[in-house]
Amino acid sequence: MTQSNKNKIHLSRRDFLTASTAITVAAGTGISLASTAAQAAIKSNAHIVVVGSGLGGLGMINRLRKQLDGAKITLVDAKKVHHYQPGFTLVATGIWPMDKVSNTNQELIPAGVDWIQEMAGEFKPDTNQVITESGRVITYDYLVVATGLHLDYEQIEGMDVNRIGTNGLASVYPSPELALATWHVMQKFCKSGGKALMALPHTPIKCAGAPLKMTFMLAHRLQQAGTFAQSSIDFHSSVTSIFSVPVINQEVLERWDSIGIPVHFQSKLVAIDIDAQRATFEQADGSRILEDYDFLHVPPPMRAPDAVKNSPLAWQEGPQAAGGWLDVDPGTLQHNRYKNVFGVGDINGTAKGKTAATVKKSVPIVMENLLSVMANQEPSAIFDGYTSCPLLVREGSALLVEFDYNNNLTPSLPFVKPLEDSYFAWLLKYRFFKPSYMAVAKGNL
Amino acid sequence: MYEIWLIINTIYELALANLSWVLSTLVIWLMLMLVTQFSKKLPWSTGVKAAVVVGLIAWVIFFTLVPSLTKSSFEYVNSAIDWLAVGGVAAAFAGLLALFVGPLYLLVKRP
Repeated sequence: MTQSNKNKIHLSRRDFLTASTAITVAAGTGISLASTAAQAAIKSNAHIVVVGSGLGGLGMINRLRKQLDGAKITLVDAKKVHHYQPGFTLVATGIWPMDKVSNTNQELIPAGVDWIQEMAGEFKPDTNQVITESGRVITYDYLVVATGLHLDYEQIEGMDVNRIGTNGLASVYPSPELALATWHVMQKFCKSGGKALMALPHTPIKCAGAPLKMTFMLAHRLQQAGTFAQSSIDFHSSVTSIFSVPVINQEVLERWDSIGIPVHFQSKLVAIDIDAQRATFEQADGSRILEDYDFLHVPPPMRAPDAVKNSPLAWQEGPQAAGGWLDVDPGTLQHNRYKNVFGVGDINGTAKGKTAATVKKSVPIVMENLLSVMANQEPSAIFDGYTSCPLLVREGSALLVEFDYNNNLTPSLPFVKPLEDSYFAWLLKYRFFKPSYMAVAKGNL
Repeated sequence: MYEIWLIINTIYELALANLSWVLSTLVIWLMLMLVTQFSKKLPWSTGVKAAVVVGLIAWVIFFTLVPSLTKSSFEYVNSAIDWLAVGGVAAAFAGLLALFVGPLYLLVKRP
């Protein structure tokens, strides 16, 4: 049986549900906030499973709860604490205290959602099933994959996440605790100065601006401490750029050049000797160079979690296949082969890196397209790849970078110039983005 | 429309994150208003004038403080939107202060 035939059978089964699902086109296109707020709940007895309780998963279940009446909504995720990950760079650079970036999942999950507190272990889209790590089988009519991604530190020989915060080893990504540990090691380094190495992996990464922010902020903290002159910062990029949007890439390179931060392209961090404080970088020709360091920032390679990577949901070929990313249409965010499956957030195998802003823009689109599919219509809402990155350039100033799949700069506010330092952009990042993030998680934005 | 909804939600979530402060301020303000209401009355316009004057002075003071209170500096306030942001935050704090000044002034000046 071909995949499309299988899908036809699944959709036929859902036709029964559709018959009792009073979805109008008008309701299905309720993407604007005004209509979302005012929209009456749509009757449905479908079972929708959302896997993952990051921003995308929470935003989806809250919207589903508000917009569907009678549907069974199940959330699958073992995590009890929700982290505001955009705040990790603020913690790791001494701007925010650690406690500002954590909330409980309980307070963000609406009543009426069946929360299965386990991790998804396996996806079986041919039989519309998710199997948890304990072996529990969950059958769905519609699935939203929002698992996030896996930080693949294992790809770096000698790397030990538990030693972040010691021996000059820093990494902003894993947790608030390790973001704070990163700040402590940065503080210690800045007191005396020395040799800093900053890395960028070869894989797609979440918040692709974070390694750049860490570099800008390290330079700023060294300047504040008066030790910049006796220090060096070298940036090693595994690829041929440092940011996927050419105009931003060029802007940052020029800024770094002006303050003496050299960039080494196609120089991939492959091994670390934590005790000796020595990093190994593999060059384009396969040769390896060893660098001693006093401070090393390690953004890990990233890939899809095993449950997705090893499932039929992953890209089977093409550039996204190696990471096992979710095979979705970049516009509709519907799975390319399993039409009752959608993806939200970092897991999506689409061209651009993701941030919370990507999720903010894409959740309503997935919601609208899911409702269309439930009504047996073609999904019509199109995501343009919008991503936003408030790129800290120092404490007190940032660039508000917004762009789409096609590398167009897409400033939301016409008077904000993306390539100019801005106090306003800083203020948004420092005080106002977390409240708007919480509104997204609650399905209100 | 979206921008208005965004601002409303952001302010709501900001208030929710600082709920104890918001509620305390609200309770104190309501008590102040009640006390003012039941004490010997001066015309409200007297309090309003005092609130406006103090509010304006406070705005100037807050304006000079806002960048440092937000871990920044006037050195980084460049564009029109930056200045508007500083002015807007200062106005929010000054406005809040002015809300208290009106009834307080009436209480202090009551016969």
